[in-house]
Amino acid sequence: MSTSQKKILSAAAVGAAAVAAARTVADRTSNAADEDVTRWRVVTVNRPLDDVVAGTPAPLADLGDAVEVRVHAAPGDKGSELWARWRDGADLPDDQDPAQVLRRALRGSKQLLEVGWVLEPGRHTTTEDTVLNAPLRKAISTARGAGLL
Amino acid sequence: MKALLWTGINETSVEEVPDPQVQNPEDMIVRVRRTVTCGSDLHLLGGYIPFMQKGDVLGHEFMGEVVEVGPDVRRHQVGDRVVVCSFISCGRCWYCKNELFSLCDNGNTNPGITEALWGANPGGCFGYSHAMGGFAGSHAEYVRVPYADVGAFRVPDGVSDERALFASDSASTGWMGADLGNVRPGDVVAVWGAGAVGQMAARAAMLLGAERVILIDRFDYRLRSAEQHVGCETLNYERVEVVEELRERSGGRGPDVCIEAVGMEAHSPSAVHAYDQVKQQLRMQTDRPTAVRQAIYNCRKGGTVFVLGVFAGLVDKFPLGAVMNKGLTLRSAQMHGQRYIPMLLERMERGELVTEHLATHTMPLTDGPRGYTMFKEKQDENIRSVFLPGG
Repeated sequence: MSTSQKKILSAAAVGAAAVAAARTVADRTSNAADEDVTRWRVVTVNRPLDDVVAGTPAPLADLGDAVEVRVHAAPGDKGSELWARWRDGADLPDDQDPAQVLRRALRGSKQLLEVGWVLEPGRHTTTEDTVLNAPLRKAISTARGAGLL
Repeated sequence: MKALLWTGINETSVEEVPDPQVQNPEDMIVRVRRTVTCGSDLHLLGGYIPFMQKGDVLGHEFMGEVVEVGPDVRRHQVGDRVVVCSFISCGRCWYCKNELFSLCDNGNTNPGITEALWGANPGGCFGYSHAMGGFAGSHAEYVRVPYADVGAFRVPDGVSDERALFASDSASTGWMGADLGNVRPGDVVAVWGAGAVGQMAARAAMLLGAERVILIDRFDYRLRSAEQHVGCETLNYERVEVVEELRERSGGRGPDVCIEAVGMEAHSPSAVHAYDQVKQQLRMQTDRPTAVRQAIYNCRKGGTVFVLGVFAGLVDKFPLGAVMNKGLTLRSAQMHGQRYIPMLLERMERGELVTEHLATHTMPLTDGPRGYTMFKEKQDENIRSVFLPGG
């Protein structure tokens, strides 16, 4: 086998593996605990308790009475814990995964409390949609609401 | 503007793309004066970190001139000459407040990807895949710098562009390895990898008072470069037995601190390398940890191993028994550059830390694909290719 053939085969193997890895991540954008929609989810906010209890940040407040919120002091010097859950029987968003909606709201609230605004992703004006990057695009599209939170 | 794009596995091209814009109040736009290849880019180029999209702008180690600031930027103004940390960190979360900047809670806009992979998300990074936030990289005429007051640093007048460039990542990463590796006066330190990061780790160890610093590589030209510009000892692992040599040079103890600056595509002259390559190609492991294994095996009892090289996933034959039974401290991190860059710039100004020799090949950005080929294939004794977006 020539060197160039080896390179092509190697690139193909790596490419196939890349697609598989991205698909794995895309498939893991939710976890088993997401099936329990009403379970508590929590972020730790590096702000004193008084700052966090002063008002529910907009991303959580926008979810209205459907979401129950509680706040505790975090142990040590870690700030405050901001907890939220969908209330039993609440009207859940029917066009989005409720777990992802709540994760996005918690992460956004944390950034508002710590920084004052939410970091915008870069505008990907140069990227191209291809068949190979479809799994990655799916993972990116849900990445703010995905994860273990 | 022109930018160097990743267009597929081992494929790049320079194309015309839209200019970046201020999107958040603490953003600023930097006109890139110098931007440099990094060994960790090769993992992206080769598809080993599989989170790139066709058209992503590469590059994370850079310096330039401020051309626009957002309304809440306080420390910078238009015209400032700045070096920018490769990691994007908010400066206000618990991790940033504890100077663990690369672990920033808020700097990565795609946290779900790395939470799924690793259980938690690190901060963002310029031009380093969508797993690290998907931020456009620095191999471009202009780049958006989020959290500008946290991640950008004014370059002192006495420090040239050529020197300041490497404070962005190589020098700060190397310094972190020696600092968090707990190098103390009188230590014997071994560093695997004589690229820019390894050379900077060796220099940091010397400046922190190490008695002997030994840099290990297989390329004579990189070792000569380190001998000449860093002033450390060297060792070519294709010519001598590393284990025996390190024992001799450390009084039979083994090095006190072992710093691995190689990463997931390590080489070895032994049969283990072929084994690792086959397993990596078959995706039975994602990374080749050859240098990490050697660092662990060679470290003295009770010593510290610091992993600076970039790893993405799983490795095979990890010598946990040696770590446990020798009582080693194993540490690692992406770079907490904001913690070190101001100090490094001062040392650069005093002449204690020189970096110009790392830029073996400087060329216009339009030659970027050639620059990456030279860098990857070690052509013409390349250590780093530096691109000038301004031509």
